[in-house]
Amino acid sequence: MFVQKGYSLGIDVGSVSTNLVLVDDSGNLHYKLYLRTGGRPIEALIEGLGQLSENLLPGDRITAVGTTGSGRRLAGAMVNADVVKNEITAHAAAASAVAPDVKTIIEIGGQDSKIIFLQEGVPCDFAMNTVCAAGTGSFIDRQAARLGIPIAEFGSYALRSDSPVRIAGRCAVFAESDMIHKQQTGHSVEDIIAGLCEALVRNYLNNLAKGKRILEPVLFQGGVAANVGIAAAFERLLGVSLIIPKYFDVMGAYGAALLAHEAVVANGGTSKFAGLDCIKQDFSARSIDCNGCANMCEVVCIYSGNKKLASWGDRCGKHGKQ
Amino acid sequence: MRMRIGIPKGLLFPDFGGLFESFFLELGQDIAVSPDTNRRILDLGVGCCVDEACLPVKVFHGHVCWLRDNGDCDMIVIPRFMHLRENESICPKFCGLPEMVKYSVPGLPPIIGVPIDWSSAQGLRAWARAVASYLGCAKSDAYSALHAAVSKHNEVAQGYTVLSEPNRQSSRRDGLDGQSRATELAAPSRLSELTGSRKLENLTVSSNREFRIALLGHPYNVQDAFLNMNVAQKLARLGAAIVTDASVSETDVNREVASLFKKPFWTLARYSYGAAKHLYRTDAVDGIVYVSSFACGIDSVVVELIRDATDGLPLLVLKVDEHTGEAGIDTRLEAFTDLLRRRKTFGSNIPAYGKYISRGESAI
Repeated sequence: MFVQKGYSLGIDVGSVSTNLVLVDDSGNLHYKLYLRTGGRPIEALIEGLGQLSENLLPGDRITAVGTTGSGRRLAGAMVNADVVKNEITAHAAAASAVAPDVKTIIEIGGQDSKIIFLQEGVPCDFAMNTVCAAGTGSFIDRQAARLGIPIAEFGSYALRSDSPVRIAGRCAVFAESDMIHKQQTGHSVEDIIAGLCEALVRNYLNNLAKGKRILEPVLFQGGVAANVGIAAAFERLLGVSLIIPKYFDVMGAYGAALLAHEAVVANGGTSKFAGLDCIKQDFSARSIDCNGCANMCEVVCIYSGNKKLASWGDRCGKHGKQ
Repeated sequence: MRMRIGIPKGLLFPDFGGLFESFFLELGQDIAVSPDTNRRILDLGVGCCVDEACLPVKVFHGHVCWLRDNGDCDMIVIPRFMHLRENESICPKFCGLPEMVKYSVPGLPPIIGVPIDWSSAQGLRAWARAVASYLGCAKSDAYSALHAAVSKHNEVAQGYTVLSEPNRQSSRRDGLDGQSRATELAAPSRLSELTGSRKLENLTVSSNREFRIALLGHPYNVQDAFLNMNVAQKLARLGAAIVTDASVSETDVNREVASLFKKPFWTLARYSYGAAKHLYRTDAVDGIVYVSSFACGIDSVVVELIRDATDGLPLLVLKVDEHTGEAGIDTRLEAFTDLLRRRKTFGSNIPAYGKYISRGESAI
């Protein structure tokens, strides 16, 4: 006997990972999927939705869809999402669902890092890294690859260090040359990695948290929260203990699902979702250099077959009109 | 001899370009003005300017390049602003701008780089005199051209007005009384009237806005919609009414900066700070968006001063640089307006940490 179950689907298409979650009406997470985006967000999302549909029971329905992450518009156009939300709002929503009294959220993803401050569950301030990606996951990824250490073990190396070396964390390029200097003078890999974790945390705190009071409880989420070395460095430098949510790696998607549910309920209960069959369509993204004026905008158009689903990137907005 | 004078539409052009235009026309010259900043102009500027300069300076170089290539100019004006107000400074790049451009942009016609001291009528007359002698015009013609240009400027100016009496006080925002006009959301931007460039006030007139945001920063960052990736329009689309520092009177700015531990040094920073603090104290805005060009030394100080003076008011600092991807800006603006919306829903005027606000069920 199948009970009909309605789920909200949250999709987070980030630079490094594409995550999908199914959340029931009470906010419980029933299914999560973490895939590498691999530079191909359309393929990653189709793959993810395919895996998701295999895991659904016959009576399950998707009653709301929300997308977030840097690929949120792309994903939103493909599935016809109810809500297309920025990462900050999504992460804040997810964190306050997990820990209603959360005051600070540290989120480090593939190419951006953010800090969000909340009061009574309402975000009251946030900061995001600027152009530089020195304090983010892709930097760790790159250094792990350079040292030939699997990213999953990277953090545990740091924990084995007794005396972390000082690495310049201001800039990823300087940090790398600094690491090479230290390695050539004979420091152990463990000490270098621990130093790198501290450098990254220092950089994060200097860039994002300068002059702000970090109040507990502090949640640490995003893909980098898997790195025990970084978490330890945060705790050491901040002098607080971090809460790492169980689903730290899909919190963005979780938040998008919650916001989608909220929006659909507010709008009378009907989702715009295109259905899981949408993955059978032939999606493609084409970019054109608009020559309409001297701005020469790079316009992206998302097609299903020959049908244009959405477009963006133009300053004047003429391409967005269907 | 009638000459064609090129006027680059960069940096302080929105403030003073109109005056230059009428001055040269009155003097019997022809003028060419570069178009609003666009991608091609940015690319031209980035291609020739020294790497360390800030984005608005690079954009200015681009405007000069455009005039060189398309303006058919006999001369190009590169204004060398020394002071806008007495005993205050603006960014030192303005004093060296003619040299900076001259040695970076090849193939330029002669440059008019005469220093301008805007803080006194005397200073302005000295400028007119020097320009006239450079162009081979009579001194008396220069004075009457300046007189006509200044009258015209003051008629329409929302920005820096020039007093014809040499009473040493350059008063800005002519016609505003001491009262704050911040509550009038249709605050005209002080720069746009002169030039017919983009008009921020068009975005702010709608009465039915969810929240009010102060859009602050150096005027060339705030007013150049290409350079700041159209931040005013984006905010308006997200439901914000926009207030600029032009809506705060000189008197109010003076009162606010008086409490600083020392006299402010930078004129433009003074207005940003004074406006921010006044708008905060009079509860006229729900948040501040500060547009800052990457590597701006003045901004690095002002942003911290504003943060200190507006405790608890949400502040978003947008750094603009050469990257043209708008996704980063979109994400921040969207998150910022979400934040303001949630704050409004769950109670306005949240102080900094410490006090509790009433709250519905769950926040999500």
